[in-house]
Amino acid sequence: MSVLRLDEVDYYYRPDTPVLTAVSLEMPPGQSALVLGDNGSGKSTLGRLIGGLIRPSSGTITVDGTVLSKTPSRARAGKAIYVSQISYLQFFRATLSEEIALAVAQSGQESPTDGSLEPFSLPSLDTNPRDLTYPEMWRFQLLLLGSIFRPSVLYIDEVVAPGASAQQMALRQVLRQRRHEGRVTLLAYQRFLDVGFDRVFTVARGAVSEAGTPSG
Amino acid sequence: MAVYILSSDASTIDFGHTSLLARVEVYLGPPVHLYRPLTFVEHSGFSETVREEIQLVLANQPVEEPPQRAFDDFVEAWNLRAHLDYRVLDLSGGWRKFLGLALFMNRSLPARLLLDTTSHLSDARMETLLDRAADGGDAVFCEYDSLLLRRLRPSLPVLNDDGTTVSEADDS
Repeated sequence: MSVLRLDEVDYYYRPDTPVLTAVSLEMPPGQSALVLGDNGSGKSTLGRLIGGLIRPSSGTITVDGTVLSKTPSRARAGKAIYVSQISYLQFFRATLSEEIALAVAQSGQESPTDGSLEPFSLPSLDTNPRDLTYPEMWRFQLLLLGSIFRPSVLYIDEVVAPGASAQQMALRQVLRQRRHEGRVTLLAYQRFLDVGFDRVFTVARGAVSEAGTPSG
Repeated sequence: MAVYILSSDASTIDFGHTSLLARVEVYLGPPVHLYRPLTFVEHSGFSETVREEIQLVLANQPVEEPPQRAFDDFVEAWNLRAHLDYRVLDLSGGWRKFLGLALFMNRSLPARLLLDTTSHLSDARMETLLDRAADGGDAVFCEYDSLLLRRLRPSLPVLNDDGTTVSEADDS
């Protein structure tokens, strides 16, 4: 059974302006995909649909066999999470350690070990998340939402400074962990990234298509 | 007009931009004007469409910083024709950032320090930005991912972080 399935999904902000049309895709357990597209192609809209933040104008999205639009908000976080481009809006507490504790409490998952934090190259856990640099903030968000919350489907909208080794190490860690646990991960970006994705989708003119294998 | 890449660390971009600006002024001479992304809310809020936003900004720029290009020329130079009738709030994050950058770059300024332009912009938007950056005034780009910029423009000179030393770009 697929973890994520989109069937003929359309999305319109207004009736005369389709953003995405007839999007169908399936992702089995453990798979990851890069979602490639130019600015304004619909990558973020696709992510918000998959994260359950907006509902399809028509068509259905199912996660673990459940229709996402019929899943209550609180239960949805265990199913699908959209990692926003505006990172600091998803932080609530005064220190990284408090933020991690909150994520553990909200998700019902185990606390991360010191060893599992290492790949995220974070500063002191006493740091206020709003004092992180933008790349650090991205890695911390990846830890919280991808590695602690562990939703069945994670859609990461953009990567900051993808050429930096710290960013790549954090991303590879999350992909590896989620693959091992049978969870699905998508990352949207404007350029190809060679960090071990299983598939590549392209978004253009409202359509999502598979771009073959991610050979680089 | 010269375009440079400034090598710096991420914390300087996030928390040291005032001193960074001062250091760049040592090299280029004051005043250097700062572009800093503002989480996608990069429009006046007084206009509905992209067309109205551009008209509003061009009509209200400071006398000492007149627009380099008038409306039609500006729209063509920045490839914005297809987006003129979009509501600004309906633009994607990348396009809204690009519009804000374009309007900033269109001011007649002697020198600019541009922080984190590459995040959220595709290569096509970056190509346009780099072309326009060479049009008027000096421009210094300081990026989290300067390699990306160097891939697009291998010949751009690189400034050291103290703003005083210039070296030619290479892959080291």
